[in-house]
Amino acid sequence: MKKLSILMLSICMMGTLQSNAQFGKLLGKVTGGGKSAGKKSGNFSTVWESEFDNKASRLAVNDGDGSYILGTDDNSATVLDANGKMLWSGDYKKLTTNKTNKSEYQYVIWKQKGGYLFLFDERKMGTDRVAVLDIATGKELWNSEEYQNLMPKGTKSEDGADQGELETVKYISELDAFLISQKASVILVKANTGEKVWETNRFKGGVGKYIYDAKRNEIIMVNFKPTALGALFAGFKNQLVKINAVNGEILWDATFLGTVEKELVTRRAILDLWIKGICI
Amino acid sequence: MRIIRLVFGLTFLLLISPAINAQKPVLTDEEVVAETVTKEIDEVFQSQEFTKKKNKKFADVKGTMVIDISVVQNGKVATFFKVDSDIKNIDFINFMSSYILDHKFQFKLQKQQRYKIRYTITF
Repeated sequence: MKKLSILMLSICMMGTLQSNAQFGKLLGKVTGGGKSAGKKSGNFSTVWESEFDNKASRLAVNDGDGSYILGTDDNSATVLDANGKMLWSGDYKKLTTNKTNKSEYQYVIWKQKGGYLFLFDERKMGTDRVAVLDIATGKELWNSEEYQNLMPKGTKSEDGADQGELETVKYISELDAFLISQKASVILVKANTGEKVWETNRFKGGVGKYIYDAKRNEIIMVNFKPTALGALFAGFKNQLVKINAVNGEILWDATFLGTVEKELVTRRAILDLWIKGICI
Repeated sequence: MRIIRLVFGLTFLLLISPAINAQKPVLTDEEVVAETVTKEIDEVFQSQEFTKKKNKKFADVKGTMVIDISVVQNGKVATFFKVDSDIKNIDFINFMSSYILDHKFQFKLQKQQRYKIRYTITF
């Protein structure tokens, strides 16, 4: 018993020595005192400090060069410039003319000078509201009550979104337009005015995935039923459509049978599209 | 027995006659389709129902719109595309899009057939 205790104690001592040696190396690197540390660590001093007018619980993002910093919660937004100076701040209720308020889904599109803040106010009672704000000025670009159920009822924005995008709202940068899918149709809307460029009812349900072919100015879209029950009722039929992005004309459409598997944790659909081959 | 047969026959005829009447013609010629679409859309925009709806929200809207309407096999409008317009009221353009997409034409097309028709309207 005595031997066993001595053995255990000696193992513990050896372990402590090793950890101390490792910590010593790390400490040397941090302080710059160690011989092995070749580079001096940087001094990260604060350039500026500023505060958002809101809790920034929904979004806290900046554009590529840091010239606009946006912080939003469900009901309001604040935008700071590159020096932390407030450019604008306000409640959605006051900024929008259709009284868009509690926006559970907010989607930012950065452009060269600012960008768009897409707001979706899902109402349990009454019609859902959509508004798009100009990030640079905070002015409302357009609003609408025409687009309903952009998020499946009863789901949180995080559940319905695929890398920040909803299945029902896609931004096509080449066209500066939103592709919005509704229960009965797909609509291409100018991002800065809200004007319908085209609308087609040949493609129904949410856009599962799309690919934009800039060379031909065409969109290839695929849809699928997100729930097993939905897929069963639809006879496991899904659509694959090629659309002329200029006028919404359906160039071809096809159906494929089956269900689309989803990732276990994120519940994101395992689906991808790409264009292969040479265009003649 | 004869009378019963006669009654059954007459009832059957009465039942199927509205269905025969309601059957829509199948158009095959593109020019005929274009003419029919233009005629029907003209009627839609001259109807009291449309005028009432337009005047409710867009009474002041005046101008010309050039639109493309594509029709599919069952006579439904598949696509609305605004080609050109001197009307700048976006809400009105969106209203027109929804109105036209809801319309169902009084004819059918052959299987897998669809046509795109250009239509100009002046308000």
